[in-house]
Amino acid sequence: MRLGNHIRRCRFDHNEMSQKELAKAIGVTRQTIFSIEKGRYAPSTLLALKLARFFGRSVEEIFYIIEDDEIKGGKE
Amino acid sequence: MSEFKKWQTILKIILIVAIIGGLMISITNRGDQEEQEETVYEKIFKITAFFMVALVVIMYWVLPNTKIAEHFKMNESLFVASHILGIVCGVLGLIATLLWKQTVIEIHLFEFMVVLFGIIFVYWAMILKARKSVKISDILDEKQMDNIRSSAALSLFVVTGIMLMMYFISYHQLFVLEGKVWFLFYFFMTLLIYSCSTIYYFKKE
Repeated sequence: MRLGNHIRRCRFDHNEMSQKELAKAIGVTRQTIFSIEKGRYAPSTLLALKLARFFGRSVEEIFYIIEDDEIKGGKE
Repeated sequence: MSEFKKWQTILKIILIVAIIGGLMISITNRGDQEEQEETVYEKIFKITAFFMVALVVIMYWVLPNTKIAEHFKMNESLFVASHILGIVCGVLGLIATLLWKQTVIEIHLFEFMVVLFGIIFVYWAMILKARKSVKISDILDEKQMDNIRSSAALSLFVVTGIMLMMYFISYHQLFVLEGKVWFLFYFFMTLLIYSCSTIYYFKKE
């Protein structure tokens, strides 16, 4: 299982906000936002909630679970 | 003042007194090596190192309480720069230790490399002090903390392996590290592996 997200889309819906601007607003580094977007880093509950609150959405609207089958299917 | 902060302040004072005291003893007393003649370079190195440490300690106590402290901030560039400096000091320290062995200790070259690396972490400490915080997680974000934890664990295993390998090499007289040089080799190797892995995790994870 992996954690997927719609942060990139949310950023663009939010006045085409850059990763740097989002990072500054949330209080993390740009590299952290980049890693979360790429799915390389799974944020803590606190950070996920901060992101959701910032975009005015629920956590489930931003983050979702990618099942192993979907990952394998994607690779094939 | 809470019990934790009180003990932390006491430990800080002990550490500072130990560093300054150690350097002063080193300058004024040669111990077992009294009969050897101290070179001019050695004296210059010792006095410069003493003043560098004293200056850094004074800066740590004074600057966070001034208006300059408003400009103290931790960011991504400083985090990366700190670890790049760690890599540079680690590589230089290892080269010097392996090439010149005892000479590195005798001319006090290794103290300079340690102080150079230490200064940037004193700046981290100054940022913490200016924010009246004692937790490093207040100036780093959760991914940076996670990366530091991962690289600390990796460093422990990798350096233990390297030290074991070095022990066998030394045991079979292929390349011998004697006395205090073992510590320098361990220190600079740990610094190098830790700094490299932190930057790797931070950028690639």
